[in-house]
Amino acid sequence: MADVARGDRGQLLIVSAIGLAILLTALALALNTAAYAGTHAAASDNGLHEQQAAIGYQASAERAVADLMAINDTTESDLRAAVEDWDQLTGAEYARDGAVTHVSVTDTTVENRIVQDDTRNFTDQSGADNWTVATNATAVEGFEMVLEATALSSSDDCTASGACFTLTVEDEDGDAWRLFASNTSENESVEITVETSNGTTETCTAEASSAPINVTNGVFVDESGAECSFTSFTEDDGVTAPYTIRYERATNVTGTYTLTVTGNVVEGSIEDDERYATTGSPRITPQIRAANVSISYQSPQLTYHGRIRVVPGDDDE
Amino acid sequence: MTMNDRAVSTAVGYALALGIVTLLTIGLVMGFAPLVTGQQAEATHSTLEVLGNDLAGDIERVDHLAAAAGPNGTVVLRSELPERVGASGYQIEIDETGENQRYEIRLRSTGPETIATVGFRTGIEIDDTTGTLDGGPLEIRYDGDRLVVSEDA
Repeated sequence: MADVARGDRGQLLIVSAIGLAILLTALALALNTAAYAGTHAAASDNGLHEQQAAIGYQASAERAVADLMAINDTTESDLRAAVEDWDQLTGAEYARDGAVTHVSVTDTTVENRIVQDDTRNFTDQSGADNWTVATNATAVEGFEMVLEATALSSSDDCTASGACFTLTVEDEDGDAWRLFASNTSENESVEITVETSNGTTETCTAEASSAPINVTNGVFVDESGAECSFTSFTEDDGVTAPYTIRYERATNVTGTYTLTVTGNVVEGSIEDDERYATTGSPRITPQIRAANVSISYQSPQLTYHGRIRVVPGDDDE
Repeated sequence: MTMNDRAVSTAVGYALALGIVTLLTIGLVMGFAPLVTGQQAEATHSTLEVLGNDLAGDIERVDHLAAAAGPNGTVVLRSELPERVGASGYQIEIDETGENQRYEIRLRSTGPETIATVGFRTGIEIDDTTGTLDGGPLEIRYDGDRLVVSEDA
């Protein structure tokens, strides 16, 4: 009997031990959610890393394009090729960190200086007397010419179909502003007639062998140095950018001119364009002033496409 | 007589001990149950708060990136949020709370029932047709106009 009672006491121990074990396990399970919250908080910095990587890449691409523009500043195709090389070099580096990057030039703003500083007629380098000086000029920053009286036409018919030298500035809708030059006097004189897009005309005359004209500001200077102002095409509301600038009957005038226009004026390269050359008159000097750049950074977490405008020397950071 | 009494005392002692242990166990469980449930709710709430801050941070990140990307840029960020918190899933709602792109993220868990709210501000408007999202990986997208938060497919 006493042996049996001793065996029963062992059961009591086991039962209470199991009870305690279940209790502790339940407590541990319940408190586990707290541990879970803690682990998540530690893994939340990924987004920040991605953001910094993308912004960092864009900043370095922007700097690189600006630097490359300083070296390849004349033609868009040269700049494109240089940016492509840079893209491939850095792309391999970023690929090692698990990101795909790409940068490319979408378009550029080119400023062209077209200069004729030898006194000659206004034909182009190939000798054409009706020719287009610039197409798709988004802006004309300056246009100055000096006209000599000697070669000017003595015709009274200074109209679009007449005989005088004509400078035409036309917009995309076909609205045109014209400047005619003639010498109807017996003495040496330079007479200009400006016809605005609505048909009104203004004339200025200088009794001199030559006269300077500021076409963009609408100022003509006569023999006494007095200024005669006319409506410039920039003030003509009927004619809007982009402009097409043409010379007609360019053999009926001699003199010099300087013109600064923004836009892709040169077709292909300067060597392929028969209108201009890099030397002589008229010559053209293109310079890239700004470029629109497309940037992309792609990682498993982040897809970023940025479009920025890069202007060298313009520190906007 | 004495022999008989001793045998009874063993049985009584055994029954008493078993009863006391059972009472103690029930008492412990009953006593700890509210504490544990409270602890669980607390833990879930703080987890939701952490997730809300994570999401707010990611939205602000996309907002900053969008500003850098320019008007024609696009930004897509995957926000890695867990599917479940504690024992159950949860829902996410984004509401506008005031002028100048002030927003509030409300995260609601059903078991235990608790709601966490996190306020934040963006420079770009958030699409207001988002509705209620299920907890889990989200996609935050800038499409050139506004920020769109959606469940990651």
